[in-house]
Amino acid sequence: MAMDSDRMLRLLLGQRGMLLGYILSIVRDVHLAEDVFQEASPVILKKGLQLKSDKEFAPWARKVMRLQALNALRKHNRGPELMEPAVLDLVEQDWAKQDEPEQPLSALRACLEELPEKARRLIELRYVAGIPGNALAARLQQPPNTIYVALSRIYRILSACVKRRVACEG
Amino acid sequence: MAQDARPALASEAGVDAFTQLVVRYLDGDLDPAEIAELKRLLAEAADHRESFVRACRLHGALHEAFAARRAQRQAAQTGDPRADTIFQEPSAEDTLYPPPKPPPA
Repeated sequence: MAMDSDRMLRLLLGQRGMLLGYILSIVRDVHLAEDVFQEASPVILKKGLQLKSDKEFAPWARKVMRLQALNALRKHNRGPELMEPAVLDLVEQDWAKQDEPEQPLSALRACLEELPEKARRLIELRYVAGIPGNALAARLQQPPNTIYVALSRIYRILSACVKRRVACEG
Repeated sequence: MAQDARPALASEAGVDAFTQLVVRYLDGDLDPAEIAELKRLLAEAADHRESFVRACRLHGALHEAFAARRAQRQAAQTGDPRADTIFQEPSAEDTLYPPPKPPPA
């Protein structure tokens, strides 16, 4: 089935979380990641019309985002540090393996509701107030390691919960 | 070897230790030696690559899940009249690790 503009927009918005995660893995700055997504989106919406199926969308969109992210780093006179092209090639298989037709935020939101109140507050400080781990540690008067241990446990709990919910819904 | 001191991903402790490294990487908190270690782990082990991608996906999904509240908060902070509610940032006292109480006088 040929792509049309509505379908392309639906795919782009449905994969926005995944694509933001991919861009953030390269640039690590949420404002820069948003800029990269905004700048690459018109290219995706236009050129994506040539794709033949939905399955092709996520790997191809990552390629577009990758170019845009590396360009953005160059513009800011920064290097990718970790995610050099060779490393990006290496992990691409794993991104592809974990691709879903859509990334259901509803599952994640339900899992966030299941978190203990204090854990949810910590996640909110990080993702709503945008406070990184070290600054959170200073603010809460805790060693940074304590905060990173807590965040990594919350990540594990959320990942397992989302996986379980998606499996049940699927 | 000292490089292999990090636990394998077969255990929850191993997953958590690696995830800490990834979360700190995403925060820009790793020094060059730790970046080199992360690069080595990604190059050598498929389970580390899988775990890295899972953590990055979740990081992106969390940004997306809270995007509306983040925008609302920013609008409230800049006095944007479109901010129809006041975002109440959680206080430190409400969070996982409240600051220690001062010792009694």
